[in-house]
Amino acid sequence: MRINCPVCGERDSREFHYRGAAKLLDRPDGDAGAEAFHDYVYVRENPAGINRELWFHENGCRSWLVAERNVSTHEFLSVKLAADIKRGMK
Amino acid sequence: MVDLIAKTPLAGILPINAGETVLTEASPASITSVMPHQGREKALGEALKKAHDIGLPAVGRSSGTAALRMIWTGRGQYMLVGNKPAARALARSSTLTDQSDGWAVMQLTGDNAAQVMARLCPLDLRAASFKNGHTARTELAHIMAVVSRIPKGFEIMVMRSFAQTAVTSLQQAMDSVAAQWTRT
Repeated sequence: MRINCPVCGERDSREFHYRGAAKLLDRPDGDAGAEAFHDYVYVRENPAGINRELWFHENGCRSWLVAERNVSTHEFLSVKLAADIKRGMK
Repeated sequence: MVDLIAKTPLAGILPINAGETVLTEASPASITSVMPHQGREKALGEALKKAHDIGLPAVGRSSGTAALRMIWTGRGQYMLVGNKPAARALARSSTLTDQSDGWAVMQLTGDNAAQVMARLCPLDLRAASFKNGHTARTELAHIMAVVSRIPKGFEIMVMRSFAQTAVTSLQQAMDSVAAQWTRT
């Protein structure tokens, strides 16, 4: 598996760490309540198809990345800097 | 006060060689991480130019001379390796941290250096694609490393605690490459 890091270019996946669903970027406000935090921490979609995932380029530029990946084929559809996506969410 | 004797990370371990390939320790006087403040890359570039006549390197590049090099080592991070930098001038636009004793620095040279690296590192480090001035933060035998092209081979930086492990892996790869090349 090769991942196209927006900073470093295409690199072998062994340089990266999978860090969970990209949903983690969307943390509820502190007063959102137990239900919202339960969803945030525990509830995940698990489709056999395209997933949005957080990856960390640990042995590389050390960027956090949001990747769209088809988990059935391991094809990466897009890889973007998590910092850019987080800024866009505000 | 006890008079302590400074010891480099690979003292008594390097140099080693296998065939034409040689692994030596480089001991730069100083290693400093430089992290530009948000939006202050340009100011840092100007300060670096004024203090040391070095330009700020692009992603995956290093700049400067053997005496003092600025190496890109990640998103928003550089390492100044060599003589002591003009810390006061650079600190106006960046955060500096002394890492001199934190890293082991090695130089792998010889005609087969790229063959040795090919066994340990997932990047194409042959001269055609990894040229003078190129650098990469990557992994070497699963150890985080900063690899830079130098005239006759590579300069490899690993965290000091991984120094001996890195040398063991490099030695194995060097021996293996040397054996293969002697046979043909």
